[in-house]
Amino acid sequence: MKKVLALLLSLAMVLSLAGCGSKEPATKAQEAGGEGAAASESGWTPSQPITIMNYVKAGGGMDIATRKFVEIAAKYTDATFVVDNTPGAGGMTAMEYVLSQPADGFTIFAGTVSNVAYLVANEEDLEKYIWGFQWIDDIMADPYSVMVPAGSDIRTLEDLLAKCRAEGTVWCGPSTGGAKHLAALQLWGALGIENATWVPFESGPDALLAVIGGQGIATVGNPGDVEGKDLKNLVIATNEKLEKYPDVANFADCGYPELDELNMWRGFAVKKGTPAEMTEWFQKLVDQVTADEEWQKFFADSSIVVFNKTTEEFEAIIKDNIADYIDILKSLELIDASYEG
Amino acid sequence: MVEIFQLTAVGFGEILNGTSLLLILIGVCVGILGGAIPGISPSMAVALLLPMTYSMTPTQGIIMLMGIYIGANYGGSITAVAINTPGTPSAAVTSFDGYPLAKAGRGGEAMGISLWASVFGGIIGAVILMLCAVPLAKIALKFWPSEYFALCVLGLTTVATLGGKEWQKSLVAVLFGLLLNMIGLDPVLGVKRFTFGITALYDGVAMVPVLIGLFALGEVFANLEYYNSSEKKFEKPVYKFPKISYYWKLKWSIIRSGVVGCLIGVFPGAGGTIASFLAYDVEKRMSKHPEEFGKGAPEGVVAAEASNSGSVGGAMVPLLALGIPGSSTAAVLIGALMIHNLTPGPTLFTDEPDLVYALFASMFFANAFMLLVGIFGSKLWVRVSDIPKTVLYPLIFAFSILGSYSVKKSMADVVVCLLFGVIGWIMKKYRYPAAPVVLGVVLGRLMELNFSQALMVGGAASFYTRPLTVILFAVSVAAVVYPIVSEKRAAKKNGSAVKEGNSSGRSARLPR
Repeated sequence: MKKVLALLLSLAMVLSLAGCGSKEPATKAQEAGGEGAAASESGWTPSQPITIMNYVKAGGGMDIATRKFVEIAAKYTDATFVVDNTPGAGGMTAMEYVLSQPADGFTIFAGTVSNVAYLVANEEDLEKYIWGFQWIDDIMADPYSVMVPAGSDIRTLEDLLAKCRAEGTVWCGPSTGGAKHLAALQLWGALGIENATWVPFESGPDALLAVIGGQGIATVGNPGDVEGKDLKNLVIATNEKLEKYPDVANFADCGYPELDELNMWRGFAVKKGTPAEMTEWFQKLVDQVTADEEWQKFFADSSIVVFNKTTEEFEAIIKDNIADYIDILKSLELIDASYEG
Repeated sequence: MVEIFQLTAVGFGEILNGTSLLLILIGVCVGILGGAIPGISPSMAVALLLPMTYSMTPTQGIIMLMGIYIGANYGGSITAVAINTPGTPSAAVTSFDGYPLAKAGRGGEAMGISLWASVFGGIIGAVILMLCAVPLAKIALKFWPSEYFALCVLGLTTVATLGGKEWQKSLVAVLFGLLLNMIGLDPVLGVKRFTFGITALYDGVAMVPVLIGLFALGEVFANLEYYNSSEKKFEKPVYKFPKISYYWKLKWSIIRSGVVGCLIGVFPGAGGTIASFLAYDVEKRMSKHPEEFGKGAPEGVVAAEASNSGSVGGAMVPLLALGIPGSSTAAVLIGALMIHNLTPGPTLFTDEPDLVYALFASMFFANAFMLLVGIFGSKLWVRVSDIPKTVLYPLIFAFSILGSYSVKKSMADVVVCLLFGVIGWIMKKYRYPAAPVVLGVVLGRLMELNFSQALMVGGAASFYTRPLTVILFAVSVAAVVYPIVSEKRAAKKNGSAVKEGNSSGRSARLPR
């Protein structure tokens, strides 16, 4: 009896080992609804599951976007997508994974502007980590927003500027060298704020908690961050007012229209050398998803602007990001003057 | 107050149907399995099943995920007790006493205690969450970096109780743990420290591989060294689970630890692991037989499990009252809510009261199901000691390697695990305790970050002008000084007793 039990137990352990190795359940296309019209036209068929590799943990912003994308894509293709997460080193771990796979289009990187910020701030090799990819679809822009506690007596950007110019202020936000920190530096530069300190927190939510608790005067986040929290948007960087916050000023209202161009993009990339048929197939799919009502409503609710900017436009944006980040980090001597990317 | 009970009744009504109960049960089972597999943390277990909730109603989805969260927090203790392999970081503390108990042939007892303590710790957390979410959230807002830093210092004082007789060695071990945090990008300016251009080192050494290496592999290596082929099994194992009256004797430990767990769980970033260390410390100090801690004290297992289960309720406080996740698992739950177009935060109480109270009710059901599943499941697990060592140890080895790989799918973590296996073995050989290393790793980053933040936010003054900080510092000092003073007093008494010709009855107060 004991031997049988022992055997059973060993078996159970081996099985649980197998469990360790298993990937996330594939989010399979449930219906073959509009059977890949795109597929047949571009001559590329998804003959095996396509992995979309996230650098954020499950539940993070890009992860939610990716999972929603896969869910809606199922209406338009019968391709199987697997959403996977490999967090670490500001996205470099996930990037390295995708770069280590064959350039066949079956592994896609889900990236954000934060990856660019991290790479520049750490003086990494951009030739490898950025231009080792073809950035095929920029799918959304999450505007930056300057936020203050809901009960704060600061009501306009002018109020905030008056305080920031009069005394040293503390701004709480996510990590130093991250996209939001760099955006804050850009804002400070343009607005003439000289005496501000960026106190970095472990995560965005931790920083929001610190602002609500009164540790800092303001933070830079995204408009949707205020939802359900004791925070208010003071000014949102966007050309067109957001449906949800029609009364919140943009920078143009305050006399700084150029700052409305700042936003956080999220998008997809494949390893350089991936067949053009694949990228065309995928870009067409993204077009379909972008036009989908459910997709548009989901992100409008989160105050995120959706679109599909393909390779040429997307890579131009990234080049601008890199130039801006290098400039600002060099001017503050946060990176070496000889760093060129 | 009456309103809360009315709403809770509605919440219970909401989930008292076959589908909801089944989903909670599935969640608990998946959670326990996930937690028991080293390398799958509660947050990963919840994330793995997140896509399944797309097709459910928000309430169904969230109660299933909650079941997973609760189950996984307990699941980690199973392997900690059975094979000294903590499935989750917070279960490391469970292994301090759980594994010695199992090794001494009292596996049934250890499994039973950890199960009952988890269940009731979880229920205590849920009750506190229901009744005090709003006032607790206000305290969380008052917790500034200087308070976090002071809390970490308090956490460090627990090293005094972890060390036992050779406290110098545990000091060395905790310093080693703290120093490990120097590897990786520094949390304030992002300067690379000891990364040697290796991307895998940017985020520092990951907790889980270190844990598995120190505990599981260290044990395997140490056993290899002294392997005796004639000895096939552990000594006369007793599988029998204790009677309910036995657990009743531990009620105060369970209540204390559950409350400590829930309170610490409220502070984002602190979480179940620190809670379990602090609760363990409290129990050891309150115990009449502290010398048994680390060698198989039932209260030690209670402290670890009741507190880490209690922390689940705590972690939900900032989520519901402030819209901020209280733990990495709560962060995934926020993602789940957002996928269903719900906004986490206080507005949930007004917009979706049914969902909130169904969530509360589900926490009670999940804990009840856990008891049922646990009683059945741990009866099987406790028989691990029937497996011959020649089979068991290679299995643990394989288990450890895969476990550390699966955290980030990274071979670097496997190397870390192996390295720490060797370190764990050397420490065991020279009788350095491994527990303080874990403490150092857990607290190090938090301390460094919060120290700098405190200086940036309020300058050095924040350490002596903020009342809560000062109180925490004072408690820390007392935690170290009190045992020394009482030791000296006892020594004086004993000294005079020896003079009178009696053999010395050495005080068992800490640190010894």
